[in-house]
Amino acid sequence: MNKRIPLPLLVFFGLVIAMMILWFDLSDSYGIVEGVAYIALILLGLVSGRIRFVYIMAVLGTVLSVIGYLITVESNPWWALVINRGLTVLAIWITAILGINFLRREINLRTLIDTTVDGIVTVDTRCRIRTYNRAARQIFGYHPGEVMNRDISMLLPGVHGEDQKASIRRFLKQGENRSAAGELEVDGLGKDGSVLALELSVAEYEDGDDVHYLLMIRDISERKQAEENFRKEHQFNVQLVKTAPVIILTLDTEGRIIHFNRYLEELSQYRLEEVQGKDWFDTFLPKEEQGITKQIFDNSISGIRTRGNTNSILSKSGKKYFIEWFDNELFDSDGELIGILVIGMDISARKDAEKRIRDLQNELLMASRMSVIGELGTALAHELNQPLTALVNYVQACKRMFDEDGQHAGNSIPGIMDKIINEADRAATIITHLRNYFEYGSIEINREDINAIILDARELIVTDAGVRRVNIKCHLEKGLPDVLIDRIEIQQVLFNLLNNSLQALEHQVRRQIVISTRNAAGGFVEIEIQDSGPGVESDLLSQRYKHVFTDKKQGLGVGLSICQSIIDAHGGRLWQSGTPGGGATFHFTIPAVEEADLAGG
Amino acid sequence: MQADDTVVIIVDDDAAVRDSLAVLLSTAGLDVEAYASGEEFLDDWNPAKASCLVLDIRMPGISGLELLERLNASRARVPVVFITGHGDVKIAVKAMKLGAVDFIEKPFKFETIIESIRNALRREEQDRGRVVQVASHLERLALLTERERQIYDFMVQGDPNKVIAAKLEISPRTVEIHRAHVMEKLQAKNLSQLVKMAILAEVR
Repeated sequence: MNKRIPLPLLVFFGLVIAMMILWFDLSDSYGIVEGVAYIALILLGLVSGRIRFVYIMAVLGTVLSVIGYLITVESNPWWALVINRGLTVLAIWITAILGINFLRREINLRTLIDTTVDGIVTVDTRCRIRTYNRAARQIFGYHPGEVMNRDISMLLPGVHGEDQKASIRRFLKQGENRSAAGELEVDGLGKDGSVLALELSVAEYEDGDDVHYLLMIRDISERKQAEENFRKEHQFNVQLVKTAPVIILTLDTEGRIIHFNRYLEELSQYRLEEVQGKDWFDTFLPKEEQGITKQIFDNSISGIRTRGNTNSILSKSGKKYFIEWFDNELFDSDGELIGILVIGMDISARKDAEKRIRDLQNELLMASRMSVIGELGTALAHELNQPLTALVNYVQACKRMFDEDGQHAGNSIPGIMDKIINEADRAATIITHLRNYFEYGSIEINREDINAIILDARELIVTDAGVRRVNIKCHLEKGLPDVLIDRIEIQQVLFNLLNNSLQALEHQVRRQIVISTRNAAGGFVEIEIQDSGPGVESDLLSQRYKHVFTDKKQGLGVGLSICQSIIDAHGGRLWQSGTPGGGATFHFTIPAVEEADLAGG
Repeated sequence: MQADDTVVIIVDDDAAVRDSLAVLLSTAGLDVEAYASGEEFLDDWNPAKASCLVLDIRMPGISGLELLERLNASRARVPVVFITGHGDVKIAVKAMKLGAVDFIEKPFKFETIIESIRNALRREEQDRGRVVQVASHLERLALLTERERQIYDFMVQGDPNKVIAAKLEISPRTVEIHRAHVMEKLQAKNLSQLVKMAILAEVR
């Protein structure tokens, strides 16, 4: 039935038979009987399965009948012939039309079966495959020839054994593997040996006395794969939420707890069941933080995204944890906001580390102050020695004057005594500078005159500078506002930078340091220290940490990083300018007093 | 003790130290001049004037040690006393090697500084005297005849008359006569004095 006999062959046969019938018709006169033979042509057409051919045969038969009539018209009464031929033609055409209808229906059905997406396989009572459509071929991979009359179990291994009929019937009646739509899920076997996930529906029909089964087969491998992928992903997500070392929390739009992961359970000692549905803020946050955190939450709800907030949470036992939060809105499929998904990271350890770093930096600061003073130490000792020497000389001179001529002594001694007092003061001042430098207690912000501080620093350093033949100039802007600083810390910064400059000038021809002060924008005062050294090849500031342990430049790196910390703490900026070969310039800004500050107190 | 034209010169960058030391030394009757830097001193200095230097080591510009080196290089014979705020052994050794008279740490006692200065002035005097002596010796040496000079050269080497006579192929008696002339012209009391002068004058 499925094989198509080529049209030319059919036409040839058709013509042959037609000629035979014609000859038969002409050779003798059997009346209608002869004409009826032309129906054979129709049958041939029907066998061929081609509608067009049937028409051709019908027309051929009609024509030949008429020709036959015309040729034998004399031997019979004309009305007999007319009836004879007329009936013949009628018979031909009725057969043709009926046959064509039949054919058409069959063709439609076959087309339906062939073009349907689902595989259609029919099996007989002995479970042998009778029909196998194109879709089935695509699903299983077999050619029709390979499966025709073979046992259905080659395609559906589940249906096997002696009781195949019963199996199929079971498919029908029972719902062992039925999916929601009433189909069954079975495994099929492809030609390449692969297992196919199939959905099957079975219908019974009668073919004569036998019961045949029509199986509609759908390949659901893709769907199954998608289901599997989804399941895996879902499983992964669940695992993630369960095991991730961060808090994963969902709250509804009112701030009530929908869900949180095990990490939070362990951290807070609250089981999810205990607090599900309760208000998150009331349950977990310390009282003082509830208000502001709730505010941030409300902002998130109304679409104002916030990131990186931190607040604390309290565990059941009252232990406090510092958490940094990242929130995301959750929408349902209609786009309605249904809640917030929050990720929280426990930064308590980080906070502790930060505190520890600050403490260490303070210690380092102190140590660095010592080391800086050590470098200036020799110079300072020398500095102190000068007034002492002069003092001692003057006193001895006075003593000698007294020993000799009383009158002579009277004139000069008071003058000398003034000088003695001067020198004593001078020594005392140096001591005071030193003492101030070492008086490192808690950080104290005070109003200070930065120009005075710079002049002080210059005093302390001027001898050392002199020995190194460095000229220190000051260009200090007059009328600068007071600054709000910790004097000792800013002195530390000055000493560090000046020290660096002194060292930079070691082998220079021209040795000069210029210290300048000026007003800066935004309520700051800027201090600039410029040296005539070789300049810096790269950004010393950014390399400061690298230099700490590797560079023997006498604490260059450590000093700068401490300066940075101090200036940062004051809210100012520390930066560097200068081109290689043209000297280095360091700048820093410190906050100035604004008259408005005073009013508030 | 000191010639009228000797002067103690202080070089120190610290004004108070300069002034106080000047006052102190003048109570001992010394003439004092003071300069703030080595350069200023060199600009003003007259080598002919008898003097003694009191130098600070650590100064901007030329350091005390450098100053002494320069003076040595110019063959000036000025005694130097160093005063310093350091107690650096290395520098002290270097200073002494350069020929300083003394190395004193600040602050110092009057007795200490005055002793050093006196030593310095004494040495200066001796040096000065020596210079004069050598000059005289060389002058007189130039007055010897050729033969007398030959005899002199052998005499200061320590050769006895006989040997000299043999070397010069003259009689010992002639040598004796020349010898007497040499001693007289050079105003030497005895041979050892002559030899000493020869060494000092660097002609032996």
